[in-house]
Amino acid sequence: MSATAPLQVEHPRLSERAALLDEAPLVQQKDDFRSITDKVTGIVLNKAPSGWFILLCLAISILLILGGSLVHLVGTGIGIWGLNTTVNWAWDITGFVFWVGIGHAGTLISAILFLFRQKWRTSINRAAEAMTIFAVACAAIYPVAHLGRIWFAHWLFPIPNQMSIWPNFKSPLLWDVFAVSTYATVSALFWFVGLIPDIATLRDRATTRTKQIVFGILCLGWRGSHRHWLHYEKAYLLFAGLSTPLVLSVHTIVSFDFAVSIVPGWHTTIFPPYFVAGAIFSGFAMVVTLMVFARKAFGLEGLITIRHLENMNKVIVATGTMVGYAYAMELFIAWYSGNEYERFAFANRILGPYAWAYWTMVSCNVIFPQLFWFKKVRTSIPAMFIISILVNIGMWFERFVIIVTSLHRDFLPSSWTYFRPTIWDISTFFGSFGLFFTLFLLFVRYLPMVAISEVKGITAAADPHGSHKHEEAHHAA
Amino acid sequence: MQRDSDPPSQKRSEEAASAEEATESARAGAADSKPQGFVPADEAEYDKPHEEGPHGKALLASERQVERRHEQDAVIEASGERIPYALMGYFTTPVDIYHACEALRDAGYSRFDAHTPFPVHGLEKAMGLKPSPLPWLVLMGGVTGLVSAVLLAWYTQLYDYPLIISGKPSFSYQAFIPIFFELTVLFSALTCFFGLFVLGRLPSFFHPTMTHPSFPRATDDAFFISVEVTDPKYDATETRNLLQRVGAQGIREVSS
Repeated sequence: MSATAPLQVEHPRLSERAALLDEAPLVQQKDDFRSITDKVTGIVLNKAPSGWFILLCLAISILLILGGSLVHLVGTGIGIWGLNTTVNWAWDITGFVFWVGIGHAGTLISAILFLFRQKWRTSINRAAEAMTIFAVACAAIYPVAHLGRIWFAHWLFPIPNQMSIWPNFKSPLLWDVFAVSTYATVSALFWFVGLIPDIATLRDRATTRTKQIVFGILCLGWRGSHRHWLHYEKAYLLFAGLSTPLVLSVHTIVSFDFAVSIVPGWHTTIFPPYFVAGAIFSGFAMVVTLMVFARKAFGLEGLITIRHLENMNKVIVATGTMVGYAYAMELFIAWYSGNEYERFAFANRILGPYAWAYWTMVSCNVIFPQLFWFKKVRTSIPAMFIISILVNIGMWFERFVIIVTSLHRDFLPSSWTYFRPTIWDISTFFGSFGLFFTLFLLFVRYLPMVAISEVKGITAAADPHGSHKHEEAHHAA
Repeated sequence: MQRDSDPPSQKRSEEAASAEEATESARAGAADSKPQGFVPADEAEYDKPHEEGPHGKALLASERQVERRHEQDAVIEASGERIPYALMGYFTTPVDIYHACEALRDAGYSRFDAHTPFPVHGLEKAMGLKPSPLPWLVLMGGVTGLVSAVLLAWYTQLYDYPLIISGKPSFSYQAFIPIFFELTVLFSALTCFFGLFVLGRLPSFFHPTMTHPSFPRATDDAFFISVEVTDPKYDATETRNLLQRVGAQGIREVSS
């Protein structure tokens, strides 16, 4: 097979379709198998780019801020945060929902796009799934930290205890325990299964004996046997099929933390689909932010192309429109219901003391992402980088607005108060980014950040049938 | 005549002479028909040196097998003789390996395998493999998860210490659906994960096919075929000719 002429289209028959739709090819570097392997394994096996170490040091120092904040929290108590009896959830649960939401995009790219046979997912799914696991790790800090007496965290689980009592299975707080634990476990298992063949590739190209042994153990002796691939492909499909309802259910259950209560502004049935759309919205924005950086830093523009980024931006504008619709519906239903508490809750959001937060949320989530309707904006790297960061800021504010504005003024006016964060609220949240980026930087350095075998599988050369025309083209070339 | 009561050194030299037959029969798993332990012919034999294990007591049949196996391995290593495992060759395109697998399947081979850097579509049909039973295992795992969740909810909320929460029913399937669903998915995923390894007999850190000199390309850009020597249709020259006819490169015998 000729390795000299790089292919420009995916399949001879699809070339007409590609030309019609003006679609760029999915692999824009030399797309023979060896080049793909070289590109991705080179990142792991060769020296890291100089900026990587500096960024890692920066991330670790931010992680230390998180560590310090948590130590002070456990040592002194929840009182170091700005919470009070009226606003008893603020930055902590905002942070929890923020990170869990970001995680959902990774699973969507891995699982849902796989079921929809979207070949473009193969360049980004490995990094996106890693992002999911790290985001869930950051999210998991909050339900534990906000307990106060974290040494009793095992009381969250239905295990026999000295009080002979069990948690309340009708409470969304317990549903969260099951949902987030399941989500973390299943995402990690799915990610690891996907990594096995690529770690085997690393083992076979390892430059030192230590790397060979470590990768060899991690890949469980994978040798590319088709008798294994047979089970592997089924397992992958099953994981994708299991993760899809999981993504939808986990953030639904997180939304139930609010929707199942009676607090005005929380008790609405729109929350499950609204939260899921919002999660995908913020998650894709985070993937875009990360990929714009990573593809430049590691020279992966040939594998993570503008077409991939454009597709992600299309998902962002779609889910952003859904979130905007949800905002409008909430307002309409609050008015239409005639319920004075519900009406007040939304009037308070728009015009009350937190109006600045509400309008930040609306502009970042509803107005700016609509720019992605324009192809020039969708395909411009600086524009998409800025908009993706704005989306994440907007989505943080959305959770903040939902939680704090509904709590600070609910049924009883004598309890109304204004919440202000303390330095420890801020440092804990800021520090969680340190955890996320430390883990992500370690991942891109020591593990293959592109799914090597999957990218090879979607090239035209990977098709064992109907490539005779394509072979003739090569012989002619 | 060789007896178990013969001193070990004599046994070893006689074994060396008959190493080849012993290899075949022992590896074919011939049952050890000698009785357990030491069976003396008469009282005097107790005082003669007899076969003893490291614990000072007479050897069990299984221990004898293990010892014999160790001795055979040592002999083979010393003599430099290798036991062939398979004939391996490789191709550089998925089209070629697909046709090659079809050719092998149609020629009646069943104990052969393909090693590819990514799963080649439909290769299991070309190889004549049965579909994976993993979905059934995962279904069973999921059902187990659901049943476990229902039992957990029933036991903790209805049986052991029911809590009266605003007069709502102690067992409310609607309220418990999130937990039922999550445990179903969790058990299914765990079954899928471990089922993959059990079905593939992973981890398997060493396999004879990994000793082919070009094997590192199996996870890179080459597509290997290995035909095991234990296949009923295997013939050293015929199989090699077949592989050459379908265009394999680097055809070599790999041994364990």
